[in-house]
Amino acid sequence: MSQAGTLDQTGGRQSQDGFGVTARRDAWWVGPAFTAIGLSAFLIYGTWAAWQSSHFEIRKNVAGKVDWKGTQEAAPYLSPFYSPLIYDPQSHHAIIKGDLRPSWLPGWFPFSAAFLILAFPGLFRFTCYYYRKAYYRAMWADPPACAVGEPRKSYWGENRWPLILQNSHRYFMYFAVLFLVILGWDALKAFWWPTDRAGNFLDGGHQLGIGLGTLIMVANVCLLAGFTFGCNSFRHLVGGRLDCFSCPNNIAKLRPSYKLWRFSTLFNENHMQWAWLSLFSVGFTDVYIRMCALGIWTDLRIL
Amino acid sequence: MPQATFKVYRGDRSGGEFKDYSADISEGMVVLDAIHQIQATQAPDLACRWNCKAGKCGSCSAEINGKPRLMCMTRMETIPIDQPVTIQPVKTFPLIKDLVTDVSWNYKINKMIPPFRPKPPEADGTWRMAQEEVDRVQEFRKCIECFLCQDVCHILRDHHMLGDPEAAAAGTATGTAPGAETEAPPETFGGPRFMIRVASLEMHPLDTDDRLPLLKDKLNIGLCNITKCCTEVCPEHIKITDNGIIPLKERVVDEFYDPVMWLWRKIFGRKDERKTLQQLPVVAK
Ligand code: SF4
Ligand code: SF4
Ligand code: FES
Ligand code: FES
Repeated sequence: MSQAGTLDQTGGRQSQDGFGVTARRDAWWVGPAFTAIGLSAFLIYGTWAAWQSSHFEIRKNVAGKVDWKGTQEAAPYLSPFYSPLIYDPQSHHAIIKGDLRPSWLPGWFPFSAAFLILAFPGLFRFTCYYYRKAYYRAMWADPPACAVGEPRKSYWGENRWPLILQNSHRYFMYFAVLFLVILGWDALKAFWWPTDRAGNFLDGGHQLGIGLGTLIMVANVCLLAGFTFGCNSFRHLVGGRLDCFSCPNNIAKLRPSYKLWRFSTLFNENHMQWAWLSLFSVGFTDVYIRMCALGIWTDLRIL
Repeated sequence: MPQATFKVYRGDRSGGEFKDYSADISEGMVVLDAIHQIQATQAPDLACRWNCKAGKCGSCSAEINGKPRLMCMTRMETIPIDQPVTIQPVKTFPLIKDLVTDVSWNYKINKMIPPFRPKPPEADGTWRMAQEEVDRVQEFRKCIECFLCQDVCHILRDHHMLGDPEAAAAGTATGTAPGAETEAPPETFGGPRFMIRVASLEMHPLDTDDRLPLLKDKLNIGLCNITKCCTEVCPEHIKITDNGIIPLKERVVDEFYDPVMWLWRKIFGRKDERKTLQQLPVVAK
């Protein structure tokens, strides 16, 4: 890093430091580097997993072996990347039983049930105020870190096209709440097993049970809830938009929005931590179910 | 007694350089003490601003090893002294001499913000607020106007959007900042300190003024890309972005960008006090 000697304070309108120029001594680039690695890793894995159109639930064949081509669902799990499952020829999670992939699409063209829904959670995170900070810094170096020079001279902030579209964040938040309900329902259904503890099919019947996957799915929903409830748009909507919590009553009686705003604030204070934990948990829930569906890991039935 | 070397920027608008000085470091010492020692022993003409030595007046802002800090609140034991410690004036504002900069641009921005305009008092002639409502805006009032957040904000620091506020207020931004080679006049970004000043008024339970158009068009809140350096440097630990700028951005969206909200207002009308604006003589400028 170059030294402080570049300082030019000779005019009212100061010079701009070159990219990475700073008098800072600490390892300012470590944070952005980890952020860039973490976000890229998730993006790459997520895109790959969404492309697969397979192994989002655990299936067994008639011989009782884990087999994607099998016809029986061996555990009540569904990967969060594929929920809600818009279509699938055989999964009972599917809203439409069949294949919606247009037959004229070339085989390499990415199309899967996951691609039909992932824009919503994807854009929720893309427009999230925390992620904006994270990628503006780590991927766009605007700024790379505080008091460190930038690569570009021009700057529009979020005042112009296309970044002015970040103002749509609240709409993706509405969808995120809907997805929370859907994934919550999936997690509840993950307690309702088509097999007994030994793994024998109940011939269409179901019983209560818990597998390691159930716990992972529940944990994932909790982390996603923590992320969503701390969303700045959510916090604004439930109460932050008000100036006066006691209006139109008197000061002894605050509106319920006050409590809701405080509730959201609890999560909002650690929004970054919730963002990373829930990002990890979504990815890991898919990894877990995928590995079990591939027969590489064996799901642990706890109850 | 351990010694530390300080590289202190000496100069004025016509130019300058770093000069080396040394100071004895004793327990409990802060950077401002070292500067005072240098003034007393080696450089009586070294200019620096300070007042309280308690982190409350906001005068001693500088950049210590490249980080915007208050000199009086930076303890020497938190700084490695095996290498020289660099002390330079805040970068964003024009230099007067050595560590002293001209921050008057900030006061011009401040003047653009309409002051508190309370609603009419209750029937018994008093105003009442709930403690919870007071707590929320109280955070912003902890500001000591050290302008460290203004210094670190990349919009002002690197992109120099220190346009002439008066011209901007009049909508005739033609001025150039002093010393600029004439290009397009710089845009104006109000900066984090004034975002939270607006927040303290806009979120005030008794205030009736509407500063959202000002925020959007004159102070240009849309330029902020919420990268949070302001929050990182604030010596008063004000959550400038999370509690000030982001909530204000959401309000600007309500008012100017959200078609659903717009439709809602069209159909159901406004519920807030803004339709009964009332100026009271009690609060002077
Ligand atoms: S968050 Fe906004 S106001 Fe604060 S330093 Fe960053 S760009 Fe400037
Ligand atoms: S908000 Fe914080 S950093 Fe900015 S001027 Fe006030 S006290 Fe200083
Ligand atoms: S601000 Fe992060 S999800 Fe809304
Ligand atoms: S001297 Fe007052 S804040 Fe440092």
